[in-house]
Amino acid sequence: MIKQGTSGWAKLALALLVLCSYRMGIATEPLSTSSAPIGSTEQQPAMDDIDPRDVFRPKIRIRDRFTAEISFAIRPGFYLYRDRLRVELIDHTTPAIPPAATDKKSALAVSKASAAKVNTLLALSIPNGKAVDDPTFGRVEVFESNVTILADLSRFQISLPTDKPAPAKIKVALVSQGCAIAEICYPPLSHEFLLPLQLSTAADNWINPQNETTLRFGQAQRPTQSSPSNPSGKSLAPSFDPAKSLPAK
Amino acid sequence: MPKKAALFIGFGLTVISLLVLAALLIGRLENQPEVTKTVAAGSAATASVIYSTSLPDLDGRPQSIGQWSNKLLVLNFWASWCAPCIEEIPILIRLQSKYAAKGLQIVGIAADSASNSAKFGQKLGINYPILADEIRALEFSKRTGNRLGLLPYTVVLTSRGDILMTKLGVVIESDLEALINRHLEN
Repeated sequence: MIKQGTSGWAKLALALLVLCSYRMGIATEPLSTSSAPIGSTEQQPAMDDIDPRDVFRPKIRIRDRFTAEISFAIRPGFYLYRDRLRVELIDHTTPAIPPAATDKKSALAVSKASAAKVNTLLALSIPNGKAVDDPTFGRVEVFESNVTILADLSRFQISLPTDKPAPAKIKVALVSQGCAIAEICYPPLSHEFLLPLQLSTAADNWINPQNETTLRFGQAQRPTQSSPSNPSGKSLAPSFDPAKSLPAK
Repeated sequence: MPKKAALFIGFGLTVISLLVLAALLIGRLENQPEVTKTVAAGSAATASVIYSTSLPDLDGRPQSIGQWSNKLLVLNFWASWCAPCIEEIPILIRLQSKYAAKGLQIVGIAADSASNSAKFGQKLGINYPILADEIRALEFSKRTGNRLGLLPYTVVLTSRGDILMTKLGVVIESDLEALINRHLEN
């Protein structure tokens, strides 16, 4: 009798332990109904207290004479859509051509007079993201942790660290859109950078976004205005192969 | 004695397992964002903001939210780029079908272009009005308490202008239906 009771308790205990393990297992999965997990298992925050600018933190630097490197830090528990990343060239300045060789002030000035107002997209090299089955958009790629993107600057002249006069600068906007695993999405976010087109030998040559980083409401689908599902799974930004930008040996 | 000990151990393990299971379940619930709020203070001011707002419909004609002030109004802020928004729309469609005759009015406020909103509205079979404006929709949602313009976001208010609920994140159908039922009966 007691033996049977003991065996019964043991079976029940075993069953509950298995159930607990199962709960632990599924607790690591996303709250969404995606078949593949999105995001990590870290504690979910109170969403309306978390500014997306604290969640998605990019920085940029000149990598070589042809490319810029963007390092995007993504807070655990959040993710960015790969196909919504783009870099817009907003503005660029060019060093003024001195009216006379003796006019050193003019030679060093950075003139905005010849700056072109532009709004074109830079070609990007974006690594593959994690493929997930989004219940709404189908198969999409996301980044859940840090990601490094390369932007093609081969159309610009990037000066050497010792070159003078002052280097030209470009202003770019990195546009991204992401969500939290708790089924809440942020509006598109635009981080703006002012990037001197000069190689740097400094140990820390990363440039942080300017203060005017903004939530860019709407405009999530520019430039193509195609379906947000973007079934091809490709980035909306033009792509490039950084290996082909390198000078021929 | 060993049998008794085994019995105690089995019982103990069961109790511990139950406690662990309960803790996990509670933890899972607690891990979800605190998204549903009942707005009491300032409801009148917020209702006034809501009723005095106009946004363009899918044909570009301005529509005042105030035209639905005699209804139990559910404002659902969404966008075509927001997967969880798209996910919850079928719930709203069902509720609109079921309770429209009793005085419920759901209105979709899209932070999106009219063309995208129309495309998704058609694809999903949305059976309630959609107002769309890429910028002003989220500005409007901020004025109703959605500080960062996150999506999806839903506000429920009575015909007397009492805000019953604001919710950030996907609505839970049973909760929303219970709320609707309760207030349509009164």
